[in-house]
Amino acid sequence: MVKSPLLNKLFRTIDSTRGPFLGVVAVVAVGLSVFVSMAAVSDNLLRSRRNFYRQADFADLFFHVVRAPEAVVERISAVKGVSRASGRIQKDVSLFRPDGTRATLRLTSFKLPMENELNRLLVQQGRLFDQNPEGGVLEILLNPQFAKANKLRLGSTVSVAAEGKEKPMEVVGIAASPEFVYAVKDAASVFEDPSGFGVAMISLKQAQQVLDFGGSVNQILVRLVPGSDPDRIRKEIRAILEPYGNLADYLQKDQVSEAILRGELEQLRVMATFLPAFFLGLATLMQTVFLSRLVKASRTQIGLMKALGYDNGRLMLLYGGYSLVSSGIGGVAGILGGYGLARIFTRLYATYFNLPRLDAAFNLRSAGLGLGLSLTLGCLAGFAGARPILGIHPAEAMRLPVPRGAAKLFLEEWHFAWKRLDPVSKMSLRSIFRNRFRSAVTFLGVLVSIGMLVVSLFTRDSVESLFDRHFNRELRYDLLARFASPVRSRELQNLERLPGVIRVEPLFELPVRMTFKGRQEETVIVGITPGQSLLGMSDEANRPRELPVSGLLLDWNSARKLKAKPGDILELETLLGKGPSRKGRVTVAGLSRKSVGGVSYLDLETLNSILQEKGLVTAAAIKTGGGQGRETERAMAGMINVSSVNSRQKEREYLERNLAYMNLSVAILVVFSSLLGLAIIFNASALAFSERRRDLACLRAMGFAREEVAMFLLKENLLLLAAGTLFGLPFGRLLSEAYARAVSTDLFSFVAVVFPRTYLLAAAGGVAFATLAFFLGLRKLEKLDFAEIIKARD
Amino acid sequence: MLKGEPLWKLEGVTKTYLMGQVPVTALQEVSMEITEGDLLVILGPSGSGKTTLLNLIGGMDVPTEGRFFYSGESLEKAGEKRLTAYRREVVGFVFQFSNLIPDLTALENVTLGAALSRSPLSPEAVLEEVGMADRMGHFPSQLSGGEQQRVAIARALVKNPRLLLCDEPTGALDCSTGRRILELLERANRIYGTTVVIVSHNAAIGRMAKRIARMSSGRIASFSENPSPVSPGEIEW
Repeated sequence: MVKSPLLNKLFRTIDSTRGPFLGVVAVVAVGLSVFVSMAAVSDNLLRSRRNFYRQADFADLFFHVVRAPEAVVERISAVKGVSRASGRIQKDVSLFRPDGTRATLRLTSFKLPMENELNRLLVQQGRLFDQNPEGGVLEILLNPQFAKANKLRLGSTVSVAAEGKEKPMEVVGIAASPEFVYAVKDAASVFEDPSGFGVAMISLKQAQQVLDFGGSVNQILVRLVPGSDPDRIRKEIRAILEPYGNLADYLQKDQVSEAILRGELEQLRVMATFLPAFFLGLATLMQTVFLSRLVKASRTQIGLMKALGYDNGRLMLLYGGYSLVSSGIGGVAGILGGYGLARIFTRLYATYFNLPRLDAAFNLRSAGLGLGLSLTLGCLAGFAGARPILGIHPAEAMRLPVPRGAAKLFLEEWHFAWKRLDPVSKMSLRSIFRNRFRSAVTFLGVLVSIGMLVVSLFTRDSVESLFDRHFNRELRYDLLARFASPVRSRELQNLERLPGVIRVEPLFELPVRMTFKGRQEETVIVGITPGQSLLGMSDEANRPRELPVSGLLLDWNSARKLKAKPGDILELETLLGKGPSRKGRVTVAGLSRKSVGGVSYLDLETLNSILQEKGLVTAAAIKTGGGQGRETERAMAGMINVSSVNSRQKEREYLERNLAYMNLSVAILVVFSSLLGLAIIFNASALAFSERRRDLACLRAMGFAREEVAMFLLKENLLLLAAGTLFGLPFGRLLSEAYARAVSTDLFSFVAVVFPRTYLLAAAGGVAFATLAFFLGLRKLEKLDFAEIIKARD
Repeated sequence: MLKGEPLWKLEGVTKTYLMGQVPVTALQEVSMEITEGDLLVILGPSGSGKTTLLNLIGGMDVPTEGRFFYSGESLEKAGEKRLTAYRREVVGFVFQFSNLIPDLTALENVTLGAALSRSPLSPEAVLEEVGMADRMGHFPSQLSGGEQQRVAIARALVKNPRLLLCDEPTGALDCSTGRRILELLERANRIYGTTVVIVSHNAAIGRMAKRIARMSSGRIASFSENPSPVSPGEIEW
């Protein structure tokens, strides 16, 4: 048990070294708050996801077919390893808004009673649709994001175009579904406005009526018996479904909403690992340096206490206790701060993800883990820093310490350069190399802080450059109109005649299955006409390129998955869902890389010939005259065959409005990195000041002005700061790339882009730290009683 | 300034410090004059106010009351900037502990001093003068106490100061090393005409002075002229 005089001494020591103590507390607190908040948010998301998926019986396998009789579900249920199967209809239809614009609604059917279904709904408002609604009213439930964005309430009626007819549907409820936690049309539409895409849940019976699907379904969902082999079952079910036109099948992990949610969780995991590792690691090093300095300065006192009979254990506890206290206080502050941050982030996530019961519950596990981590590191730093106590001999400690080493630096061998240095620079250089550990910690701290400043800002750069690429280089049209089914290209003339239209270019978006050396990839090939101008393409290295004269411009990501390269021949199977499936072969002519999603490009005529057709298109890219996009869109309202219209302008506006999450993370990261830099510099200055007090006092007495002495003090840290900044910038670049790699998913390849502006800003951070160090030194010098210090014995 | 008039003048100087809540008077109504070329030794037991007086003359502090003139300019109300300039241009300090910068060699320590002056002497020449020609490249930790003190004197002299203030310069040294240090100070006074003020509790040192001030309890108890100063080499203690 430590006696109270030692405890008193500990608290007095803390009081007399408040600055560096608070510096360490701040770094620990920041590291821990990031850890606790990210771990809590990630835990909360994971828990809500797990509960929801289990509660709703989220399917393990998804099969899309053209049309299959409902009875096939029974056969699939009988496959060994399948625990349950559901059949349903899912189809995109157009919803007409009162202003004449349209949105895409994904009609998704559920067989009643709901209890036996997979991917069950969770009604959040209103009620479930009826088996036999009165008067045959079509009843739907909507996902909350779409309902909110389109101001649709319970009782609202929406107008939907299905099978060439306009049908009114009544909103009877708002519901969440595990496959629409993040409701998005497809992987390429992750950035699209939620007001443009919604999910309408409807009874199977009504869906069959509306979509002319009597007795049939077009999707089968399968839940597996735990431990069964999904690949074998997939093959077997594929064979069963073969006669009904297999369009696609995938695992739960590849389902779009789940893939996006998983990507987000992965980002959180990366953040919760690497940020706290930096902060807590540096805090530990800072504590070690500070403590060993404190022990060195208290050598005589420690010797005296040993002479009085205090043993090593107690003294180690006294000095090591210093870092334990700072870790403890930092830990508690970090947990509280982390909880606050977790609340903010959870609230933000709740606006993007429709996960029931997603709340910022105080997460005991992450708090406990965080506190345990910081205390363990505190103990480690305490032990490492206080270890020199073991070597202090009471009798020796009363004598003057062994003078600092006098060995020459390797730099001094370079006479030519060394001779030209002024004494102060020599002094700083020698001090840096004689206190290697301390210098290394300062250097490392600045390096990490500058590197993190680069990382904090690079997300903005990357998103900005992504926007530029996506909106200015890849999408050059103003509107993209998709047709409910393929049309002849001459019908596009109707679009050309609409008000404001300058140019219309035909497209064919063809879902295909590519096969190469046994590897398969389901993707979309866009057929375009040579010389078209409304879609920009880039090669792997992000250089603009044209459609090849012949052959396929293969998506970079598909090429990676198929392990195919230019010159290889791929087998294609069309998955249009209408008409017979066709097979063909195509040579890879080059690779293309898109900023969002991935598609391959092929000449429209070649694509038509694979379909054994001529002149068919599924969409039209439209260029309109200055600001007339909205009018053109409205003019298309009456065209039943147009299933959706995407507006580039609207997409962009939505994205720009919704950068709140990114801006918040950037701001938090900038504050945290700056705090780290400031704490490091503050501690280094405080240490340098206390170690050099005598030298500084002497310089003041000799007649050096306060500012000059502050410069001397700064010079040592300035050299470390400059080196830290210099290496911190490329380190930041590497970190950014690592981060981009870590958060890139199959859906979304995040390319690290760092603008020169970001390097300049980060370097400005370094200058700011230096300025702060200078003024801190100056302030301390004002209080320096140099006459008194000089008189005292060393 | 007329020739022969005192260059430094203190009139009724009092210095009071606050030790916590308690005011402590370190100097009480001290008046004195120092002419250029003087070699003044201030003697007194510890706590008599010698160092406080030296600090005031050296511009490290200002009096609480009374007046202090240098070359006719009153400095008792001088600000931080003026005092720094005064120390820089006029004063050279030698302390009881050499206070050399440990990360600089002997030569570099002296060069640092030279950088302060508008008309510095050659650092090498001054080090040679104090008998340290062959140890210029050594760090303070490689030098003995006496050698360190010589470098400290060289660092003060290289500025070519008008006034050399020495606070117990032999306090940490043995007798024979101390004598050699005093010889250097005497030589600076004799050859360069530098005004030298030495503070010491060691009465024997008074024998080398041209004038001696004796202090007790914050006051100057007596002033005396020494018509026949002896060479430091003859002093024993």
